[in-house]
Amino acid sequence: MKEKSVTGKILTFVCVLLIVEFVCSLCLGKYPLTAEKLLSGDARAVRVFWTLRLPRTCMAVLGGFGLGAAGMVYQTVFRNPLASPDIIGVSSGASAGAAFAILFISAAAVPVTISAFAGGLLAVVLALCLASLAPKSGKASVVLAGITVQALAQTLLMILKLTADPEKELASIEYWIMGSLSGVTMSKLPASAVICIAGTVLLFVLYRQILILSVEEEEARMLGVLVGKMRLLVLLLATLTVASVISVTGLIAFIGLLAPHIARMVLKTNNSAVFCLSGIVGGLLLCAADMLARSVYPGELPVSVFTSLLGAPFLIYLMLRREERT
Amino acid sequence: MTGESWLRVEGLTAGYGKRRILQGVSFSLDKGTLTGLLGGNGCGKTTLLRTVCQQIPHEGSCYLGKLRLEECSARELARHISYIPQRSGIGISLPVLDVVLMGLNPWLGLLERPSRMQREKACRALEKVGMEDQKDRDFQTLSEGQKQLVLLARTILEDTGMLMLDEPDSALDFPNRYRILTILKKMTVGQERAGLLCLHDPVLALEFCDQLLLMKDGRVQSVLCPGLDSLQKMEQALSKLYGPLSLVPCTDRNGDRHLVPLWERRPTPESVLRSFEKSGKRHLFLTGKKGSGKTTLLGKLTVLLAEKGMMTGEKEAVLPGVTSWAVPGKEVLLKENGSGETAVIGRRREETSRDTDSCGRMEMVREGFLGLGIGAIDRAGESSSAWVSLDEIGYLESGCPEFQQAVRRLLDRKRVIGVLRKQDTEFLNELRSREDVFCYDLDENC
Repeated sequence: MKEKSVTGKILTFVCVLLIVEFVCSLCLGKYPLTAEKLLSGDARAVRVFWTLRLPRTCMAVLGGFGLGAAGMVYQTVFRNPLASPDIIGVSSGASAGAAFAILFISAAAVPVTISAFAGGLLAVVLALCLASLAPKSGKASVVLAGITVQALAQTLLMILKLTADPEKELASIEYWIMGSLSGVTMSKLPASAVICIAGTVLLFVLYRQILILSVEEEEARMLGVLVGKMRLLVLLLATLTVASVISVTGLIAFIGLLAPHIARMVLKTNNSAVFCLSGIVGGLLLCAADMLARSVYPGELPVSVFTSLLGAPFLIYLMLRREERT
Repeated sequence: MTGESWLRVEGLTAGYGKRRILQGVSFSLDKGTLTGLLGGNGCGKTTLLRTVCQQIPHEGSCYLGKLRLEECSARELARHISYIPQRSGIGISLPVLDVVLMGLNPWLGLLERPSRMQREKACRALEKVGMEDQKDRDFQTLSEGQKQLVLLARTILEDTGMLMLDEPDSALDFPNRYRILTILKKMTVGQERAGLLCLHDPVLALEFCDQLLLMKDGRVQSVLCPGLDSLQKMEQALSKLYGPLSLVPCTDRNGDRHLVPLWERRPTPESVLRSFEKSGKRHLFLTGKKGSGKTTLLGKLTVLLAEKGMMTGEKEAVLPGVTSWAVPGKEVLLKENGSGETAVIGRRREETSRDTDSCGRMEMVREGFLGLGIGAIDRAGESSSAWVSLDEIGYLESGCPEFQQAVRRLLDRKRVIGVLRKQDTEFLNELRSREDVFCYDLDENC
């Protein structure tokens, strides 16, 4: 357990790191920006800044924060260090929703975003309803329901892909699933940001309840928590946060899984400071991955490539390290 | 118990799915007392506790003071009842202090955090259980005993009127069991609080509880008050639950008195009789090493047979037959049960050395057998009793062919209950292997 002062210092440090990364991200890209160019009023620079860089970077930070924070909530509520936002089906549902929009509505950004958001939310609501129908509804039934819904969503996605036009539609679907921050514009940002911020703030203030939810159900109930209702609320809030991000960016792998682990490794506990750190680490990771995605290769690469490149070795490290912990 | 009961449970019936575990349980307990629930595995102790905590759907009612627990919300219930499970259900790394602070949840608003004063109260609670220097440690790194102590500190902080503990002793080592129960006793005696504990160990229950509820098959079999009830009543009730045991009052080095239950290892006459009846054989012989309790058991079996009415025609449980015993270092005597006449059937050989076995130390005195022995056997065979007792047949008896014949005749005429020595002689082997003989070996069944 780290002392309060040490925790404060660590949080301050990572915040500073995030700010530095934010600024770097604003400058990096196919069209390098500098402060002089902006201040001198260079039209192109200003346009790139306001229409491309700023929304994209903001999304990277906010989105990463949301995914990291939500990931922490899932891992705490399910007492499972391998839980990720997709444990109850939000990613699969969003993918199916996006594919549906691309095929039947339009490949334009707005319909796809709305459809993906709806798809993600619907999947989770379905999973939670299914879980509540089980006679002994507990964490296990939520996970099982999540797996079921995931499978259904994947099946739907497969069918949609099969009926898609391989030249255009299929490519759009696959590209969406790989995730990218290149399509984030000023118009898309506000709605997503508001939901993401609201979700994480609510989760933060409810964090004491989230910790009690991690305790065995009967024990939690005897501590005065309405376990079923609280779990439903918390999972919905976390899902809203994730859905608000991935409906705009597409699926982003590993952030929700990695960030909580890193935060726990640093602070060695599970309190609300770790929740914040998890969010900040998520922002750091996504921002870094996005910077790599637009600078490593002349074209734009999907951001999930880089989050996976960061994630897989870390998981291997975790696997090998497991023996020395409890 | 005086005054209105603090916890009153009426007609509790509950189970899991179609299986009914509790069959209409009713009891009450007072403030300032510790009540122990005792019973074997699967008797319903844990189910009862969980049902009173309203965790299992049930019929019946539970009242805490004037409050009906079935009508309470989760928060209200948590403010009145504390529950400590057998093993802590905390699955993530948390500081010990945060675990204790969870106890304040029923009193805090949804978004409220514990205040500084409340954190200090939590530290004081940890002090009471001796864990104050562990308050920043990760809960997961504690031993099971330490975890239970932390949960106890959480319960102290919860400050409820009713403490429910599920087998607080099972996960703990020897000294910690006593520590936890001592703390619980302090928390209840003279306070506006009572405790209901499931306990495995009757020793702890007798030591700390003011009331004991003995449970079997989902029912409260009996209620005991260790301070008030007689030793005999408690011994009987506990024996009915656990099997034959003796309650022994002891005094420790400090002069404090304790009641210690000791489980009797020897087979009961009931269990022996059950095996005998199952075998369907005619005669019952007990065998075993010297000192295994054959003769004592024989006496108890005789009484049991008489009680069960299996010995028609007898007024007392003194069966016709013979009894033989050794006078240490000297001779072996035979007595006819009815008349009490005795005869010497064995005498110690003069030239015995240390390494001669028991068979070689005594020599048979034929006159004893031919005189009293055979006659006693024949008279027993002619008696009106359905059963005859032969205690015992050993190597001396095996050495007299006429006596052996008499025994064979007796076995044909009457039902025999007796004792066979464990020595390896032809006659003893013949008796042991007879088809109509049930031979119960105390050495194998102890």
